[in-house]
Amino acid sequence: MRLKNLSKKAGTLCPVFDVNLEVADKEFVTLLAPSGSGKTTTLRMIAGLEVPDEGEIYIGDELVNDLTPAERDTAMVFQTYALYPHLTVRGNLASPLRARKTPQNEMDSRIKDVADILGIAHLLEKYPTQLSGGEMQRVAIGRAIIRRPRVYLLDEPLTNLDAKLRVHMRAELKRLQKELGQTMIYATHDELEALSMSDRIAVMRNGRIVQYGTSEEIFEHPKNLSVATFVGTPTMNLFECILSEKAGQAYLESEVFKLNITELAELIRDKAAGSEFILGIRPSDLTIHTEKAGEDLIQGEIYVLEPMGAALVVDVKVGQELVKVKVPGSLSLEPGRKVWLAFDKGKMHVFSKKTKETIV
Amino acid sequence: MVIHYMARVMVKNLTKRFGKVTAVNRLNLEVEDKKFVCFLGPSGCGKTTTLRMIAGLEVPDEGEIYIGDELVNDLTPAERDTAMVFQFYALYPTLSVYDNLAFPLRTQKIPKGDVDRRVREVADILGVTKMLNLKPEQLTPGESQMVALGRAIIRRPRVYLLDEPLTNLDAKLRARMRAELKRLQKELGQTAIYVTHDQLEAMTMADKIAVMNQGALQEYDTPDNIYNHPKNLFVAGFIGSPSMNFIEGTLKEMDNKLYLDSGEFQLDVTEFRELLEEAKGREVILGIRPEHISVGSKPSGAYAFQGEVYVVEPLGDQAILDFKIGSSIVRAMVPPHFKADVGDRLWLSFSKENFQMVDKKTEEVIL
Repeated sequence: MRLKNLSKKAGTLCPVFDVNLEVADKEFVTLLAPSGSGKTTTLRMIAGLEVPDEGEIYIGDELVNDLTPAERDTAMVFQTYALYPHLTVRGNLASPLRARKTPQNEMDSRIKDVADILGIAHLLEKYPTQLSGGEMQRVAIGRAIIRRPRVYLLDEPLTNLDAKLRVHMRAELKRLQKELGQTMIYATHDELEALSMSDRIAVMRNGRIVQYGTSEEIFEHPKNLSVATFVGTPTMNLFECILSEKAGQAYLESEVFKLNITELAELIRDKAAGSEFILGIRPSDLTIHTEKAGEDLIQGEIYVLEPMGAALVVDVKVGQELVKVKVPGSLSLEPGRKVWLAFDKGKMHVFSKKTKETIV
Repeated sequence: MVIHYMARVMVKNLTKRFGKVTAVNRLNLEVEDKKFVCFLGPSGCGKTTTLRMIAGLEVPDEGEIYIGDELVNDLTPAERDTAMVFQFYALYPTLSVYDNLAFPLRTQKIPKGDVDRRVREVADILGVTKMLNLKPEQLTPGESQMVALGRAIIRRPRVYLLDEPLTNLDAKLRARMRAELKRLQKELGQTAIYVTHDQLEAMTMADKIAVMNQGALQEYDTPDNIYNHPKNLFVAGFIGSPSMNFIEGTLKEMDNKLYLDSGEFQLDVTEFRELLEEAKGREVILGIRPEHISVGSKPSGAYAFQGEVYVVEPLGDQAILDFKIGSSIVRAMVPPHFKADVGDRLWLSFSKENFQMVDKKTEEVIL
């Protein structure tokens, strides 16, 4: 599937500008963005529910701009599971097949297959009102996959489920897509859903795709400040810095620390627009020390401890800023205690303050 | 001047029924002075009803409520001297932030100079000083919630009661506000009771967590004990994300040894024979947290079983491997670049300190 210079400006609350996206056959691609960034508009244009102002949509090698939604052969699943309340689960699953005049025996076998895959075989004779949220969403997904369309389009299908069920359905959907072996485009604002399920993620902001890559690329090599801070919980720590040089050594200097980055200086100078930078480091890439051991440490004071069970987030007050550090397990430190933070220099990110683009 | 009251909160046999439904059933609980306690549970567990009874907004059918040493059942909400913060920040839209903050003091006829000083103090603590002249509509949701909190704390009541105050904020802001609220409560040094359905909020903020389900208190303890030594199946499953793995099996004696037989694998649990003596022959549930499982091509702990990788879920700074064991999924946390593919058969190992055993019938933790 391919989108070429796709734009939709008029007649929508969430416009889309010049979107280019290539999705390989059988690939699971996620559009990740906060609400209002144009991901639903994009999905709806692919489905044929919205008409683009400009650009082309290809499914397979076929230009589908002028095809009706039915002719495009996509299936869409929405955030709110739209089931027929007066039909049983079986009736709901059968309806897309009936609409296509599928023979009864084929219909029965397809319903059985889909119900088995989704673990809803025991619910076939129930009505939607008798189902839990997770069960309803599975039936809604079942209705989409029963037809074997060319592309599945899913618009925040897990958003209305509770946290535990979402974690469970994430894995199930990912597995399902691989078993079906069919292309899936999935829209969400939840970074964990995107990271965990996708072959590739297209991060959108204000109607544009800002980065398209694998989970690893997006998390470890964000292209700019907005991707860096949107993906990752707790959010990446940021420090405003300037580049200074002294006796052949280069430093990133903030109000509260001075970091020797001589080995990166050339790279930074080459790509930088201006001398002001933002240094970013993820909470999991910082370590806490109770003594000043070594160079390039940031001094701070424990502000709050946030135990999370499997991990501990330590909020450290550095100057006026709060820096979050994520450590595995637990640590016995008291609020008020003086500590030093060490950077994993291989994992730090440097952004231009002016352009907000990644430099290192 | 900070006036400090002894403000422990105690409820005895507290019960509330709505028609045939018992919303809160014989609840006994003591919140110590200056502590931050979270009432945690799914919707309908009775946590909000309990909070509202403490505030005086609901009348209990049975039981007693004490604030300090005083029985407050017959006091009006105002006389109880608590301050409540709701999920929806209730600000006066026509008043500035300054006037919203000043409002609770003005109704108490506090001198103007004192009002001004307190408003500025609270604004400073909450970081809203720059916004004092703005109207609520000019604030972000996070700022609005800060002002709502400010209105609650400006009065210095004996107890703060917070009803899911962060629920309507986005995930990033929630994470930031958690730390701020926890710190704020410690700085104010006043008792706070916080209702939430979000186990992460409870874990990160509370001194003690009261886990509730279906109107009944399940466990009341520190986050550390609740997480590491849950008392029953409900608490074990409710706390932690991804959830604790549960694998059903039977305790069987063979060749003078005691085994947990899951159908898919057997674990030799003879070393716990004394503790498990009573449960012999019974159906049990083995509980292991995802981060306590180490995954490899060979067994690496005292206990191990094999599984096939079902899904790989990268999460940035870590990853989850989902294994299919019989008909259930077992999740293990691994480092971000762990090499594993769907279909790989690997060993899941864990140590004897890091699992729970639950009696399937009583749902109590027995090991």
